[in-house]
Amino acid sequence: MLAERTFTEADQERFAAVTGDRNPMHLDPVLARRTQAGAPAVHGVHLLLWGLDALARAEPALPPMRRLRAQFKHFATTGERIAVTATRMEAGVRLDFIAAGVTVAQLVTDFGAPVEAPEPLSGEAIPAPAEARDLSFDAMAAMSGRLAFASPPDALAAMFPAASGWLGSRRVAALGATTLLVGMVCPGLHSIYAGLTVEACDEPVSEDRLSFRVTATEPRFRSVSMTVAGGGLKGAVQSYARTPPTPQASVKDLAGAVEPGEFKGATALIIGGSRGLGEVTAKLLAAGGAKVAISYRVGGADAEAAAREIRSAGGVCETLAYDASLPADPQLAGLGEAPTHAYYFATPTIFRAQSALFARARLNAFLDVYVDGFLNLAEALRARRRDVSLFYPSSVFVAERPRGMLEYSMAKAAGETLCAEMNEAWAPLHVTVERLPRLRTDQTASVIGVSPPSPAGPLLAVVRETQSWPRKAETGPALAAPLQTASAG
Amino acid sequence: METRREDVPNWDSFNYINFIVAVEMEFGVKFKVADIESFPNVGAIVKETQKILA
Repeated sequence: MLAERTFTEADQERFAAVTGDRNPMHLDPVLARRTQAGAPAVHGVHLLLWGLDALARAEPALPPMRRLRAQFKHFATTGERIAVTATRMEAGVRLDFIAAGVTVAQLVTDFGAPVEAPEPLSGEAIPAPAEARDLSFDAMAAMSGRLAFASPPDALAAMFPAASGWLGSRRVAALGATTLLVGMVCPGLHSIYAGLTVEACDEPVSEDRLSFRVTATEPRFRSVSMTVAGGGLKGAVQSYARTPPTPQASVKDLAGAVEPGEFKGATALIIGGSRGLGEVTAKLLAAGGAKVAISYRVGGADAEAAAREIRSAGGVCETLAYDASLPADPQLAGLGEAPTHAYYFATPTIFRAQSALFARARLNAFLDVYVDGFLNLAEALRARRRDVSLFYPSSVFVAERPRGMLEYSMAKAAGETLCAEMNEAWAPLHVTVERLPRLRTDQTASVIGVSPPSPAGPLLAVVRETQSWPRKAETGPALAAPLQTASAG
Repeated sequence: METRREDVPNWDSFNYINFIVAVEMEFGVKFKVADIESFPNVGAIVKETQKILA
């Protein structure tokens, strides 16, 4: 192993300040949780420069670099332990960046003399922007210019002195400018830096700018290819325009599907109601006349926005901070009245690459939320109202068990078993369990332009079933609901 | 031909897109997004390529 480290928020800030890539997906934990990374992502170029610096420190007599190819395969996030390994190749060195056994990035350098210098940089001068641009995909196709480095080359060189000694500080700065380009200019706000291939060259004129031009866009994959030149490098950058955070249907849109007053008289608590499935559930309930309270862990602004929308449509909605890993009772103390119904959408980041067949730590992270957290909430609500009706969202993955989802599937299966036990031991409390399919949320967003179906339809069925409890007279199997209940699950 | 995405270690959506783009460039074809999402294995990609070229 060449080196190992954990990137912190302070590391991210420092790198962002020097390169100018202040895209919120790297710096803002609340906004980053709405991206495919699920948490602040380490800049790919930060990984790359850290690896090159470690390589240059370990081998001070490296021959000159002629070509560098890097691929950023998976998000590496703050707090993850990342190792970089070096493998000698015929004409250079390959670096592999590994987190949780998965290669998150790979870099190959070839040794040799610099190639022919490009034409002098051309195009409109663009200053380093203070905020990430939010371009439409169509607008990206016409983008070009000469982007100013955010800092003098020596600033980034000071962070990576060995790499600068080997490559030259201007080339290090030019690599830094590619992350400024992708993260702040094009594709900008909703971007993913996928990789680059550059060659070392002489500079016709030293200018602290990176010239760029979009050479191809592919709407099916939302991919954006660019040529770049500047700072003693020339080559190509590959990126994707991420789909922006998934907007859910508005109260107005959902109102047509719900009978007026259908849920009147109910007071519903939606854990994790600030976005995604919880947000839609809250809006459906409110559209049907229920008083709703939506909880958030970190997304207070998202929760307030959803609450405002519900109130402006004539509904009643309050918000509360709630962390499923903490005791429920004190967190519910501020609620206006005891909920008659509760929906539990608390979840950690679901999709994350890993190489091992099974990771106990990952199972534990899911169990903490899907089992302990739910039990904790049910106990606290039952103490307030014995016949509270709860909804537990299970998943079709329990049966399908797709690759890489073992721990998630196991934890959801454990949750189903817990719910069945609650229904037997704690009646008249009742838990409705439904194995939901993959529905459109931030967590299921894909770079390919096909998205899963809207959650409104499946969730309305769930809400109607959950709101049908408590039932005044049990009549046995004839009352069997269209949805699966925990005792049947 | 029976190889599925699940069978390839470290396979991910970026690898898949790169693979699809490479096939399109090599054979001069263009797949529909719905097909790209649903190809179950390499054989299905070959079959669709042959269908477009026929």
